[in-house]
Amino acid sequence: MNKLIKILHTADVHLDSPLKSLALKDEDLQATVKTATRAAFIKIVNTALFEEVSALLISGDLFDGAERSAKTAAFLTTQLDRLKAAGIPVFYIKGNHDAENPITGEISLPENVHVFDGRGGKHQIENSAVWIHGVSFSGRHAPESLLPKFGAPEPDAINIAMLHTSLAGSQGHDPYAPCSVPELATMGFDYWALGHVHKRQVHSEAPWIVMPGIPQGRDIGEAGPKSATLLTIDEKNIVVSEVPTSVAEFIEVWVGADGIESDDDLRHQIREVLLKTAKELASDAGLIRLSIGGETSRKWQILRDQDSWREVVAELARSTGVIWVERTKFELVTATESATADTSAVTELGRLMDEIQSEPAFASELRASLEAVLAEIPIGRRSRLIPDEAATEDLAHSLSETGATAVIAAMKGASE
Amino acid sequence: MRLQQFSLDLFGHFSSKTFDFGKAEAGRSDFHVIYGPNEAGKTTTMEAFMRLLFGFPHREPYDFMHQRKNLQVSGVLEIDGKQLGLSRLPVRTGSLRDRNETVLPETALQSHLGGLSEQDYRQLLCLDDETIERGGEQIVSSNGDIGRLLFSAAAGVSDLSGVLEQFKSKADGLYRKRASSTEMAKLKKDLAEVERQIKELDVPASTYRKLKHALEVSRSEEETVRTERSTLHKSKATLDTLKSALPILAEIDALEAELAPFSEYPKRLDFNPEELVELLNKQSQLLADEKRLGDDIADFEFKLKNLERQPEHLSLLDELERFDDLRSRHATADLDLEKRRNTLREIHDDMARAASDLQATDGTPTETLVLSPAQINQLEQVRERIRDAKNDVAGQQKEIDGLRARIDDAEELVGQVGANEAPNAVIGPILNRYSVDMLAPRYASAKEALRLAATALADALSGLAFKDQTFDEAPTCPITADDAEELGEHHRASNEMQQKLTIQCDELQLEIDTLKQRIAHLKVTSGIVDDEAAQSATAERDQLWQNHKGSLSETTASTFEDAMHAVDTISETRLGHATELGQLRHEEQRLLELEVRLKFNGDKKAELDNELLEIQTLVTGYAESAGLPGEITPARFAKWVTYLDLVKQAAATFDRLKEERDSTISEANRLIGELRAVLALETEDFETVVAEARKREAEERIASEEQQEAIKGRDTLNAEMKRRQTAMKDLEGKAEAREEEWATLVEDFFGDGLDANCLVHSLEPLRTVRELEVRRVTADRQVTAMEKDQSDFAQEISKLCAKAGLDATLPPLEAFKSLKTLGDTAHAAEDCFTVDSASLTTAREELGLVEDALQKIDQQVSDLATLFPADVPTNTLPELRSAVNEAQSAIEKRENCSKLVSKICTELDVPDIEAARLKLDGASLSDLTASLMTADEDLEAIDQRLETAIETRTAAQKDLSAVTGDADVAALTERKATLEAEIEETALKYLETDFGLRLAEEAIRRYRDSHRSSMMDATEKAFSELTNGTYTRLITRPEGQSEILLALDAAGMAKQAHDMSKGTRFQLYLALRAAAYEQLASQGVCLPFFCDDVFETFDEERTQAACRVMERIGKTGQAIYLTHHRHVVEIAKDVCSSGVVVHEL
Repeated sequence: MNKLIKILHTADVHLDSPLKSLALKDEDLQATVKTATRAAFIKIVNTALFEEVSALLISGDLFDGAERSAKTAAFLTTQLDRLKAAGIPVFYIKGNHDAENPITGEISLPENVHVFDGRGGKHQIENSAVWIHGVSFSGRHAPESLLPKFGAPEPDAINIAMLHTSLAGSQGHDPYAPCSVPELATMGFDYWALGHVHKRQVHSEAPWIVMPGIPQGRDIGEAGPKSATLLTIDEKNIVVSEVPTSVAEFIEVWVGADGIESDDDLRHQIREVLLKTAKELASDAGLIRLSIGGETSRKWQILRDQDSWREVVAELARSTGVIWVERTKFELVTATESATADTSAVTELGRLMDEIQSEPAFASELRASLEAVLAEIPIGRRSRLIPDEAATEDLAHSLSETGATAVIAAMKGASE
Repeated sequence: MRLQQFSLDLFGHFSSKTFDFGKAEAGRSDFHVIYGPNEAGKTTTMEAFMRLLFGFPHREPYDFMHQRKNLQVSGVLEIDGKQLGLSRLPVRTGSLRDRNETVLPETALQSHLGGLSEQDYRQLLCLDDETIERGGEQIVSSNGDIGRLLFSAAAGVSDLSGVLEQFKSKADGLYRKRASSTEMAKLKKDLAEVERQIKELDVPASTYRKLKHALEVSRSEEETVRTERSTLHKSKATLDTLKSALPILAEIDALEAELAPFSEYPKRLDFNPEELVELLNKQSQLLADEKRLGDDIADFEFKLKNLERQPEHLSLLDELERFDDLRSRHATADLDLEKRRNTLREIHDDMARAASDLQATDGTPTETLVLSPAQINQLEQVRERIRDAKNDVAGQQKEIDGLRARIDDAEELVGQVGANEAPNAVIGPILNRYSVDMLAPRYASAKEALRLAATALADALSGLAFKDQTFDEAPTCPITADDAEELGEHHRASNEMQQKLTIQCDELQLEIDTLKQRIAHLKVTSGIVDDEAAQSATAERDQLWQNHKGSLSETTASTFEDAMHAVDTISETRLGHATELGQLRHEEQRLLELEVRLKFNGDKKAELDNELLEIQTLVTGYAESAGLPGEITPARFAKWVTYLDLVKQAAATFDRLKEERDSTISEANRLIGELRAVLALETEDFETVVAEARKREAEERIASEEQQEAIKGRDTLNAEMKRRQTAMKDLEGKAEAREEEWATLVEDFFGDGLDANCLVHSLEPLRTVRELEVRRVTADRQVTAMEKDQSDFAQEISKLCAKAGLDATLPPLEAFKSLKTLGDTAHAAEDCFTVDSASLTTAREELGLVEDALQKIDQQVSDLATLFPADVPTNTLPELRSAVNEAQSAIEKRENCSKLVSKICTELDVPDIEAARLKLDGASLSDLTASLMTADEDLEAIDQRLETAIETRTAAQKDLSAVTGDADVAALTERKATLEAEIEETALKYLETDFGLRLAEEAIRRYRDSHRSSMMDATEKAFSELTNGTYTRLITRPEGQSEILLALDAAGMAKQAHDMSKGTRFQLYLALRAAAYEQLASQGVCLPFFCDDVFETFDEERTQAACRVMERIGKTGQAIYLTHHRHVVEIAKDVCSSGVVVHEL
């Protein structure tokens, strides 16, 4: 076995799961980033073909639990056929989302795809001493460890094990095939090709325990550029590298407005930050959440004109050709705000508004309005926005606070 | 805070424009009118004040005249009664300065602005007509809502309703329950549409499974129908075949009957019948050729017999060809020869001329003067060398002449220097002996040190001077400085104490006197009986009682009674004046106390006086012994003793230095002595003497150096002269040798033919002779060659003429022409003979061929005739053609018949015609037609079934293949997710706006409740004043959650704000602002209030009233009114009783 063997490892593709971003309102962006999870998967297949890999490993959640269109399956088949034409085998274990998705059972995958079942098994990559072991989820949940289902590693060979697991998991989330890194390390495999956790992490290098992360982030919670993991095997040595896959990435951006004295200054500052972000962008498009914050004497003017500043930010971003804004937030303070006791009537009004907000009667009135209006939001989003009573209260409070600030800003500017 | 002075140092079009608002005076209004025409700078002034308070903006519109960096405003602010001088510069940090240009922190100013930002200040305290205008509109748009009115006035938000309305309409645009035109409704509609499209386009997993099943079922159905249809088609084809075979059989029978008479004719023809036609044509053509060839043969035989030939002249042309070159050369020589001979003669003449140029000896042949180029070159080189040698000699001679002149100059210089004989070097050795470079600084420092010490001593001694007494040296003193100082200090302390005691004694005495007076006064004025008088009265009474007790008489009783009454009176008096008595006792006690203290102090003072006297005596004694005349204070004496110590120190220092520097100075003095003797100088000053000595030493050195330099120069030149003279001799020798070499060479080349001295001037004639010789040889060769060519040609031609029998004496060119004509004629006759002989032979051969061909055709005709029966005529070619045509027709019919047989066999699928006849036996056309119609009906039915099956299968296939990997559903799902996010965003935006609005409205209501009483009163007062009493009161009326403002006129009629005239509304707004100013002032924020021509819409009466309102504001704080109306200034002056200050721009 003198030739270098390359293997591409990915997981959590969540095919056809939509991006959740207000930035996608923009038609230009829609043209650039269309069905990003598909584009990311195409990138993975392209990489596999370009690198002439010996296998593609998909460690679960190829499908998304919610998206059940047969077209998704047809797309997948087309892509896997490309690998088949190049003689590249695909090893696939089912994750929790795959198990709940009926499409998984309905499609006939091309014969180059080897799907491990819930009982586990192993398979040798042709003309090599590399063995792939894997165990699929049999249902939506796997509360017990799946490690006992793995057989012993093959002697005198490279052994790669595929597992969809939340590892130790986090509190408040259901455990998915729970196990620990030390447990994995003692199993005798050379590389653990994991899946499930959407953030990339290399847990160990000897043996390799790699969570490749989602290949395409879908909201700001999955920020940053995303990748697949490329293994290069030379004799017994495995070298691991990242292959970029995301076509769009979510980014939090901060624009410092400290000491800003004019609109021009602020525009300049925003432009600088956006250009820098555009320059450093790893994906084809950046969907940003931008915060303008800091200490400036122009706080009230900026807040008063916040709608037009949002437009400015959006336009400046659009002019980069690669950046789109999904939200612009303002976190400004003025230098004198806390220093002196302001005796103006507007300040007094502000104080009165604070007082009123904290009164239980008014607060409950606001909460009632909030619940009534939020009933209009589709249930999925609503339950994420206000998962519990406390969140409802917090939201009502923060909305009334920003609302009050906006009114004050408008009043301060009304006579200009 | 008020503005006292204000200066636009450099701002707008102003430079150093100053306003003085004066100091605030109690009881006087702080109301100022700044008057100036349009564009005079009223607004600029107000803006400049804003800069003073808040600094310059980044982009400054007032930098059109002075550059922004040069702008400056300054002023004096009065804050809490104190003055604060400030200036403001347009720099980023430290823009606020005090009068001393010290940077002040912004807080120095901000702390007096009540937390107002620049914007707040402009909103609240700078009114212009636009603000008033909007304020008036606000009154209408707020529908007289008192909360909004009060708040908008107090906050300076003139468009409060606009702001609230903006939020309301924003909220309404975003979401309204069950409304269809809101953002939310639109998004929901879009979402529903997207969901519909997804439903329409998408194929879920279950549908996908159904589609696959449907396709399989439809495929098997189609297969079955296709099989049935194929069977039906086969049976129909059989019927069709039988029906078409019946007519073919009938045709076969007819053909067989027609062929019966031609059974003996050949079954096939092995040739093409058309060949017979060609054969006929060929036969007639051959017969014509036979005749034409016979005629041609006879013609040629006649021509040959009459031809004349001359073979002997055939070779002449070849011979002439051989001499053609010679002939052309002969012709050329005829033209050129004479010219060439002339040229040769000219060359010979030129050579003779050149020989004479060379002054060659007469009779010398010119050939001997011709030299080769190498020889000429050799002569040239020798001649060049002679010239070089001569040049060298001349150059050397020139150098020698120059050198000789320089030697003369050098000799002269040596003579001069020798005359100025240098003085013997005497100064140098002296200076070296004393090593003056070391001595001079040492001497200078010694002198300086001694001078300083002497000065110090003299200064110290002068410090000792006392009164008229001065000292030249330190006197002896019996006391040390420390002791003298102690004595002095003791004296000072005692003196001080003594003075203090004196003062205390005086004070005590004063107090005692006062007390005594007070006691006396108390006794006199209050009728107090003092203790002494009381005791004596009591003692007298007791005495009288004893007397009475003894006598018990009326008299004693009476006296006793009087005494008793007196004691009672005293007791009563004392009881009645108990307070005064107490005071008296206290004062008396105090008097005693003071008297004791006075005595003690007096004693102490006497002691001190003695002590002071003693000290003074002691000091006077010491001073006298030290030589100081008269009295001296101990303090002054202590100081003098200290000076004395300093004198002693200075004297000691001087002595020590003198001793240390003694050797240096004596050494210097010796040097001065020696140098003065040598230099003959009067002065003894060391620096002067040494400087002069150094000057002389330098002169001595320079003279000696110059002498040496002159001698050295002369010697060098003499040596150079000698060297050059030797070289000259060498060069002259060389020149002679060259000239000898030249003479020898000339003799070698020309013997005595040429003179060497003559030749040396120029070699050019030799080169000319050389060139002429070359040309002569060429010309000579050309003439000889031409003469030879002419004689050769004449000789050859005469030989040929003899051979051909022509006249040999003819000129060669004419003879050549005649010979050529003879040759040409002989060749023409020979060519004619050859052509005619060949044509005759050819014609005879062609005739033989034609005769053979005719014979072959006859043979072919007889061969073909044997194919036909004997009774058919076939002897000639036309007869044969007719028989062949009949045979061909029979052959075609036979072929037709055989084709029909084969067709019928194939169609009926039988081996031969007999089997076919058997198969068709009994079949009729009508039966077959009926069967076919039935078959067609069956086929039509099955075709329809097939069509349906195909449609079903295609549809199923299409449905399944519609499940492609295209991204339409995925894209729609993404759109759906975005729409959902937008809905959420819209809901939150709506809530934020709605909450803000609700909070603001509630807060305004509360603001109204808390400020109503104070502001309403102030507004009412101002409004009544502004309207000159047209409206006397302001009241409110609840309406829903708000309260409406009503104004009552003098007659008690209520009017709502929106029913008032525009001007009145402006006045109401102004009244509200005046009230707001008062409220702000009551909160401790009292700042200059600016109005920029806001009375424009007011009539004269109301302008008067407005001026009074400004005047009232001026009483609370400071009011500044900017106007370009002169009448407003006049009105203000008229109506403001407590004064208005007018400033003109």
